[in-house]
Order: sequence, then structure tokens, then C-alpha cells
Amino acid sequence: MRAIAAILLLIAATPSFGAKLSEKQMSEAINSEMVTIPMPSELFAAINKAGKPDWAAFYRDPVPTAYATRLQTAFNLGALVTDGFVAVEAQDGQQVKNIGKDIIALARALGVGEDVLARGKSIGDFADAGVWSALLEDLEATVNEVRRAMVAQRDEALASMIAAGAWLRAWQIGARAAELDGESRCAELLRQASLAAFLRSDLQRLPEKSRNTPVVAEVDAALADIGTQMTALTGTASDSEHIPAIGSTAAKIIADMSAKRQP
Amino acid sequence: MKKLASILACLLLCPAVSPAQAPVVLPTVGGKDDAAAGDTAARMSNLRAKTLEIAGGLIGEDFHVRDGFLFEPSSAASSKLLAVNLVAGNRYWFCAATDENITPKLTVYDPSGKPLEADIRSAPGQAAVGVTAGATGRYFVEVQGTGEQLPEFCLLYLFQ
Repeated sequence: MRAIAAILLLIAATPSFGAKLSEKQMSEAINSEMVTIPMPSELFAAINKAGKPDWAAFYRDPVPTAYATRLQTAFNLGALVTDGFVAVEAQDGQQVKNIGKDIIALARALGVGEDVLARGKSIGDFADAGVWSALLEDLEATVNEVRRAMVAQRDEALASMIAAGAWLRAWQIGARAAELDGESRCAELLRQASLAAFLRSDLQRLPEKSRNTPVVAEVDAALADIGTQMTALTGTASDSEHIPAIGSTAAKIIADMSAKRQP
Repeated sequence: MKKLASILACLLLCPAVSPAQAPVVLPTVGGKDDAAAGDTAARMSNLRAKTLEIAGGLIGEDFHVRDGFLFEPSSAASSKLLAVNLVAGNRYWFCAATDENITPKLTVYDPSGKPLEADIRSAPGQAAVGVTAGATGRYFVEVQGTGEQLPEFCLLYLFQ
């Protein structure tokens, strides 16, 4: 009897195939910058499924390619990569090339190597050939190379700002797409509070000197506000308050950061 | 025909930039660390190429490969869990490869920690699991080896 009880206890204690993860396991999961942070192109692929918008309607005016600080440069590089993804969705080769040139100008300002600068040519070539799928991958490869170069230079703050810039611009666009869509399907796509929290945690791990700069503080505040709005999304009528709030917070930080300012 | 043309165009137009992601290892005096870093970069590059082999067939099905990937050294742990942020409605394939002849087992869990039903593909030393994200959120991908230890592996994903 004791032997049977012992065997039953052993079976109960052994994790079975298909067992649910515990909270502890989920909290200890690996967070990899290059994989845990998705690309805005993934959000845009989902928006296309919900109802293909007029992507060209999300273009913005050209932004400066010279900024007072490297943090601001990095943020705007990230935002521009998202603009590149929008141009790919619009299948607008000229817009892709224009944005590609600006991305490379900002990358040069950050002091990256020739490998990254060579991407500018391949982006132009793919845009001319209309190879949209390759362009998505090339844009991501470009931004990843810049991020890795920044980490190699022990400038993790810049890598974090690139990711934050890319996603804040993506959420500005996503919120606008959800407003235009008017249905809950696009709103559901914006339930990315965990991603906003992860981007914040990246900024909060920075050395105090970087963390306390006005630029990082503003970006952190925007991510906090957007995270709160995203958490409040419920798939009900109340989303009609939170979606514009996400959009306007994102729009404000994108506009503020793309304006020239004193260092 | 159009997909084949796209793939061929991609191969022809791809710049001759370094295909491998170099590890972020700063050089130190002595040279031993330089050699170790170079060895790691080579293993990383080879494993990524092996992971892309199983992903290759999926590219033809209009999936986009993420440039970013995870490279984990061998460990005493029997499995590793990676957090990923997925978007509702997208289809994902997570692909992994090990250098040894051990086929990894992949499981994807939803934000509540529940395992998802998945399509599975595998080959010696390679595995892929396909899922559709029902909701936007933080999901988890578990990579298991066989036995007590997990060998060195590379993991990346594709989306559509």
C-alpha cells in the first residue's frame, strides 16, 4: 500500500507533457533583445489581416538627420526604420529609398561601420526591384547591426533608444489604424503592455548618467503612459478612449524627439 | 513563379556583408579571449545556418524570417524558456537547431502559461513548431534537449 502511495506521489510530482508553466517559470524566462522585442513589421502584418489600410496615409514629413545628442539620434533612427516598414507595406519603392538614405545618415552619425552603411545600397536595390519581403528583412538587419554596434561600443543606452523609437512610432501608427478601422480587431493588436514594460525595463537598467537625461526620462514617461492605456484595453466600448490616448502620447513623443533641440 | 523570382532576386541582390552575428566580446590583452570569441562566432554562425535550413521551406510559404536570433551555450539545465511578444492573428514558426545529433523539442506557451496546440516539423538536430497567436501578448518558447542536459542551440522565428 505504501509502495502504491509512493508511486502515485511520484507520478503527481513529475511534470507531465503539456503541463502549464508556473508564475515563477514565466518570470524567469530569458529575455533576449534580438528575439523578445518583435519588429513593428509584425504588428503591421496583423493590421493587414484586420483590414488592409491605406499605408501611405501614415507617412509623415521628412525629419532632420542631425540631432544634438546621440540619444535623440538613436531614437529617431528607430522611428525611421518603422517608417521604412510602412513604406514597404505601401509598396512604395521611392519612399523606401528616401527613408533608407535617412536611416544610413543617422547610422553614420552614430559612428557605425561600413557593413551597416553598405545596407543602404542593398535597401535601394531591393526597393528598385520591388522585393518587398527582402526589404522587411534588410530593414531589420540594418537596425540590428546598429544596435549590436552600439552594444559593442558599450553604448547600450543607444540600443535601447533605437528599440523605443521604433515601437513608439509603430504604436502611433497602430492607434491611428485602430481608430480608422473602428472595430475591436485592430484595438486587440495594441494590447502590448508587456512589450512597453520590457522597453521601459531596458531603459531603467541603464547607468544613472544615461537614465537621468531629459531625453530618456521623456521616453520612459511616454512608455509608462502608453503601457497604462494598453492595460486598460478590454475589447469593449471603453477602448475608444484609450486608443486615441495611445496615439496622442506616441505622436507627441515622436514629434518632440524629431524636433531639433539644444543638447 | 513570382515567389521563386523574389527568392532569386534576393540571392542576387544580397550584399556581401557578414552573415554572422558577431558575439559582443571585447578584446583583451593576451589573445586567448580573441580566439575564444572567434570560435564562438563561428559556432553561432554555423548553428544559425542550420536553423535556417529547417526554416527555408517556410520562406517559400510567404513567412518572413526574423533577423534576430537566440544563441545559447550548452548548460546543465534540461530546458530553457524564452519570452517572446506575439501579435494576435499572426502565424509563427519557431525553429531551433543543435550542433550535436540531438533533436530539440519545442513547446510554445500562451500568456497564461498554457501550452499551445502546434504543428511540428523535425529533422536530426533541427526542430520547428508552428502556432497561431490567438491574443496579443507575452508568450514563451521552451527548448528541451533529450536527457539531462541541453546542448548549445540556436533559435529564431518566422512570422506571417
